[in-house]
Amino acid sequence: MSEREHDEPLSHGAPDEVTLLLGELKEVDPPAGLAGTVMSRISSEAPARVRRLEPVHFRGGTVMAKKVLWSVMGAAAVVLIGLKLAGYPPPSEGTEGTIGAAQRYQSQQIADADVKVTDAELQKFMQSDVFHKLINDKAARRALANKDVQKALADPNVRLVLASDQVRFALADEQVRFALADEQVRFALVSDEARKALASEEARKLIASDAVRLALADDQVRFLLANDQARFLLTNDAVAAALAQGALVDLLAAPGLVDMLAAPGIADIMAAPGFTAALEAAAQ
Amino acid sequence: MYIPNESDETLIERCLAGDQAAFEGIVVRYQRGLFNVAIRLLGSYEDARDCTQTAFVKAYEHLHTYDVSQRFFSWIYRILRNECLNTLRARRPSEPVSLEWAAAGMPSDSLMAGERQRAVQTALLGLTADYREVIVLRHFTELSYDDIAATLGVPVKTVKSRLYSARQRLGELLAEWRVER
Repeated sequence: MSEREHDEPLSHGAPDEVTLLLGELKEVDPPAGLAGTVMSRISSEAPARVRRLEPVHFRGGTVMAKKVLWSVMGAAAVVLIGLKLAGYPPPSEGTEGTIGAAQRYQSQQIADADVKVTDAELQKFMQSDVFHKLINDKAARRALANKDVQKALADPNVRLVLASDQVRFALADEQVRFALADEQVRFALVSDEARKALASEEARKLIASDAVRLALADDQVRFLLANDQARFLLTNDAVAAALAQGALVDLLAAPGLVDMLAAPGIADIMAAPGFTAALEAAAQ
Repeated sequence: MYIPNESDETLIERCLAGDQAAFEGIVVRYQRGLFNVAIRLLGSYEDARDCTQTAFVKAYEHLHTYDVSQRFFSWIYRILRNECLNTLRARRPSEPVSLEWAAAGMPSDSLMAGERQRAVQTALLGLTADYREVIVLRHFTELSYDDIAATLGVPVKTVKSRLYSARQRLGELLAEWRVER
């Protein structure tokens, strides 16, 4: 599909009809008292931020923080992010050791030698907003180039989460992102205690976010959270930084991304050693 | 208390220092713009009200994560957008959206204009989320192309091409009205 590089009216000179029609839409006054309602809600709800990691007691004596629960889907999000960005299938055996510092200073660019543009899907991906975002987002590049992240992604169980729409919905949830940005939350999440608590229905009822609640109801997500590699990934600072920055979450929310990454040609490019090295070089 | 002329930075600094009331200045300053974006994205007055309120509350809760090097509107807009997306996902496809507000305040002799405004809003809702968003940011905020690109995290070139495609699609949806104007 060819797209023009500008959005000028179709006819030159006077504004086109679409512009005129849009211009007829008047500004709508916000509801009276909106500011007062917001300030009232802040007074009653915002202290929760100050009391972060407030303990919540579960049946059986397990104690954990409510925000830890929120971040459960953040855990799945981390895995999903790394998985999608690092490609499917995972890098072949032996590539793990070559990714990172050893190639970091070669100033490689993504070139034909590293990237075999073999099909239309690949071309499409390389020209997509998603790819552009990835290249231009430092945190995303670092997460992608992180050896620990790629190791975790090699776990087939981790990849199961790709099939879950619920995870994608949860990714758009602001609570998940903010919770995962909290170091205490991340480390609490990987504790055995947290995992046990998450298995309870009572725990899930405590979660305020609909998106997270839906995701937690997903068997694949729960299965993933019991996975050692996924838990390991949660403690990765590069991933956390990328998530907190938010661009990665936007990437994953991009329509059609899953389909694009499922294409074999794209999987090859993402798994190529030169790909991550080039990203690292670009990040310097 | 807040002083109307205080900059965003000053108000935010005061908030972060514990002066909760200073946030009201932020709300007053941005409520109109954010509410109008929300109502165009969602089509529902009530949903727009709820999402706008929640976006402000969440912004306050996470104000410490705001990077002062970026525009405050861009930051809080992303929060609002997520709220709107959550609302749209939770909405049942069969659930009709009342557009009575779209023609509110129109003089009684402007029935045609009222209908036209409802048609434009309906057409907006007929666009994909990406297209609708870029149209709304371009036509219902004062953001420049650069600002929109920064807000959406895409290149300016992408903003322009997406806007072009969105306007074409909107033109198709509004073909009837374009003829009758």
